[in-house]
Amino acid sequence: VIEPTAGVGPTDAALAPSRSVARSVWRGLPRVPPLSIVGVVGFLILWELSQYVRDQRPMIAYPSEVVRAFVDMTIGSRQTEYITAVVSTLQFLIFAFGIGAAFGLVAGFLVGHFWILRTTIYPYLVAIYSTPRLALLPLFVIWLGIGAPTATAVVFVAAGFTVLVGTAEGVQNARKEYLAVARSFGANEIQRIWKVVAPASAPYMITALRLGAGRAVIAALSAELFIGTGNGLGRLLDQYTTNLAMDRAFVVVATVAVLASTLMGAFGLLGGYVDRRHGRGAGATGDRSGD
Amino acid sequence: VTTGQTQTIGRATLSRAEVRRRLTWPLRIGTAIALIVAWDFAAREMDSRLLLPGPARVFDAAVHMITSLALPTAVGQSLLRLLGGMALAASTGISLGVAAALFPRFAQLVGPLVRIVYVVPTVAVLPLVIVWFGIFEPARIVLIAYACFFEFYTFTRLGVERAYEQYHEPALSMGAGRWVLTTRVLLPGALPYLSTGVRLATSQAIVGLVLAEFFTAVRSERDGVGALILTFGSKMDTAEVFVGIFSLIAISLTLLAIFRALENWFARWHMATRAGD
Repeated sequence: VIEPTAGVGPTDAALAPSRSVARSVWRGLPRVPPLSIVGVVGFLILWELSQYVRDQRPMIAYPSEVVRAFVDMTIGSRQTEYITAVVSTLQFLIFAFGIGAAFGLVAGFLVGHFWILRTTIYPYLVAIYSTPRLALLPLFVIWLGIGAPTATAVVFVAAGFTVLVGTAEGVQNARKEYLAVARSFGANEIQRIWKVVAPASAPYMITALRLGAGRAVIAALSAELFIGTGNGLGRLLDQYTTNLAMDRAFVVVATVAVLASTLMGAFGLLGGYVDRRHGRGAGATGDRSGD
Repeated sequence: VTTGQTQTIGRATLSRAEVRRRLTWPLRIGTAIALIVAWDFAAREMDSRLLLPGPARVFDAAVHMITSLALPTAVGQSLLRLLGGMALAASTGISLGVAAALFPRFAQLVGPLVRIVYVVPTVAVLPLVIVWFGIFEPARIVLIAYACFFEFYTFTRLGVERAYEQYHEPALSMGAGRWVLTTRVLLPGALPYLSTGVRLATSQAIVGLVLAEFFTAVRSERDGVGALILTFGSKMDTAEVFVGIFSLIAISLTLLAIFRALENWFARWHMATRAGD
């Protein structure tokens, strides 16, 4: 192996940066142990081969069929309905999660910062947070009817209260750690909020946003399954399983999983960036997407 | 009197922290009363049993549901189901978790497959579970188990691994064999972690419970708290829906309190055993 040496010729100099970028990207990728690949591939092969032992169709679809269904839905004849569903779910999520997150950040900040709010209404907000959102669905149906407002309300509560509680906890912790110091250095209220509390609680807020994003995806799906309207992924999943089109149902399930992990991963990256800038290892609380 | 702001109450001068400590409970009780009064006022103003029944109406509904045994039956049904699902998840999750912690190769093999359970939300597998297990009890149990399996697996694995790191050298030097190390050292050592896992699993299991009771066959309002909420919701009996939601919150808070007490007990026990050696 010939190592590229700097300054030998123009080619090497041109190649060097891209090589080092490639190398750092390669190093940044998580190492996958070979046995894990064996596990996944073996599982898929066993699953595929099991149809020759005892064919479970139409209750189950085999990997080759799922792949075919995926191709059919992305570039084939079912492209329109699949892409429409994905776009519709995404649009709805961005809207409902957006207002939920905005509410959660602002309200969480206020509740965390002001003692009077923390003592009086915070316990009730935590109670709403720990109620399974799904249980509130019948109530929202009575209040808002069957349709988009109910779905929006469920996602709003699911994401909003997760962000609220996480932000409030973060702000409280930040206060404990740094506020006495800031006060003794003579910082005024605005400086304390803007220069101390906000940066110190940022990692918690991002963790809360990540958890909230996961819960928003789940709430959107539950709402669609429960109400039975809309034209998103929930509707599609319902339709496919009702028709016992399990191959397509598996594709939808995988899409939901990818969607949830991508949204959560995006906030995870943001959290990593904030951690590097502020040099602290917060933002590592639980990351289960919850319900 | 500590530093900073002080405030005068009566003749004594108190620190800010002390003022706050004394005001906490009066404020909490005051908020509870204020919320109920506001709720009552809003309900009278709106004057709609459908949209917002008042506190008195909800209380009547609760009393009626308790004396007719509808609520206790539903709560009992839900609790049994919850325990059944959690038992299934615990037996599979704990055994896989122990195996993964003891045999790193096994962990590499099943790790990614377990991760699929983590990444795919319970609602997304719900229609599949219904196709495979039907709309009765087996489907509900499986769904609840799916919802909380990951917590049992992860925390068991974590606990056994930590216990191994901490104790395997002293245990081996005192002549413990593999079997003794596993049963007398590693499994008890994992208990504090497992108790945390049980608490987190409970929250997930309750979510799975509501999901299961909403989307599987509902025979009557006594068939679990979820079924109760759903039945009264479809009859537009809002007061009864409120009672259902409140009892669900009560169930989850009670279970969490029990498991938190258990967790603290194990944590103390853990510290005591560590201090003893």
